[in-house]
Amino acid sequence: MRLVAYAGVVFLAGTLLLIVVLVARRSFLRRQAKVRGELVERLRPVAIAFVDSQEPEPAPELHGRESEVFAELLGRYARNLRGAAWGRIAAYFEETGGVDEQLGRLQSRRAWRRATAAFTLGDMCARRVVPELVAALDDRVRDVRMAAARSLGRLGAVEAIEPLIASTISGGVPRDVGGLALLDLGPPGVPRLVELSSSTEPAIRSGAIELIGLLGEAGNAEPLLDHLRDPAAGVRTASATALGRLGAGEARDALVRALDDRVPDVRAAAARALGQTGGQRAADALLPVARSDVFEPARAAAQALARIDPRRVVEAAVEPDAGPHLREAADLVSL
Amino acid sequence: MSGAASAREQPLVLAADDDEDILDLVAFRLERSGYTVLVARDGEEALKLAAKELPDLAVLDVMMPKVDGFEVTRRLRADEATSRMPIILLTARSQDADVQQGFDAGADDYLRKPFSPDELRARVQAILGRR
Repeated sequence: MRLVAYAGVVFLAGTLLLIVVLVARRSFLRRQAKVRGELVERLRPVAIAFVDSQEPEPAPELHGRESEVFAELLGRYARNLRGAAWGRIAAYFEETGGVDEQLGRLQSRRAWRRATAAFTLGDMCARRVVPELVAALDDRVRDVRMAAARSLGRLGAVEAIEPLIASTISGGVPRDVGGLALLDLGPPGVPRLVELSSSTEPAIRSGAIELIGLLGEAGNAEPLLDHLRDPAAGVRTASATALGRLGAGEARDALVRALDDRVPDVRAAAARALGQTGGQRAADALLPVARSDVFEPARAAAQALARIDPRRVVEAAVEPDAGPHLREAADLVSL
Repeated sequence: MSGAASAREQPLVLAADDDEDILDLVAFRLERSGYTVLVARDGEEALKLAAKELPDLAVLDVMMPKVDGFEVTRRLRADEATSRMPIILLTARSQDADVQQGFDAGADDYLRKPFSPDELRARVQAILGRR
């Protein structure tokens, strides 16, 4: 009986102690957040004036939490800036040793520390860390690989295109993370992508071509035309899609020929692309596909035709052999 | 340019973006370059401010909550009071089609994010200098 009472007292004391600890911790964290918020408000104008100064200015003298918050603000601004302001941020992190510190953390045994370092390095504008970040794409932990991919995009590391594509295709980094990183590289990455579009690996070829469609311009269409005859259907589909996105008028004839491809996905992609490039010849070629092809190509062709020549779709839809896709497209036109 | 606009000592620029950091950077650079800056954090607020203050120029983010930059541009163009207001779109997108969509909506120029504050100032100056 006494033992039970004793255990009850111990349990009660333990519970009370736990509550006190939790309340104290919560209060401590709230105070920390408040102090941090005040520091952010105070240092924000200082950080902006530093990154956007007309003449190179020495960094403000800051210590402890102040310098941590200042660095965090610079990292945030780095995501939105380029040009001279970007260079100032890079110089700050080099001079204060921030880059070397994060490079050291990238070798840590703890995965969360490596991931944080890989992420932070992308906001430090330090292009010299690209080889280390490329190596981090092979890290055994996915969070580290994702952070490295994101940072390579942020740094505009065109030289990392190939490992980024390979990592995205292999699933080393999720497709959306890898895709965003590659998009971040922007048009300067296109020449390297054109080289990669001749890779021996079909997946690399189609990945590179897809990105050319997103990052390139009409002048980049020419090297893609041959890929409409690629042995791999995925590459032909990617080429048709990219040519449509580029709005390449000179691709029209090749895209019309691709409407006869043996693979329905390629025919559908070619039809969609013709809808984007437009023209009378495209409309003439799309009509029979919209009438009689299998579901996906026929539907894509009807919608593409509606985009080029809505009146023709409405007229064709009342004919006996119109088929469901032309009628559907005509209904959408009349909405 | 309206009477209110021409009476101002400093040109008035409307900057609209839902990202506080970008608003800070845009406002700082333009204020330092001699402009008065009004800030809006979504498309709806931008439209209200534009109608009330008739700024000399607007710098609009494309991807804004409530009303996107394309739609704000279209509505400003449709309103007689703001139809001639120069508009620069800030876009994070990289496709030419999005830029074209901005011009179709009535924008005068565009700037890609991440952006260079020097380039922003130069474009604002170029547009306001032409008027």
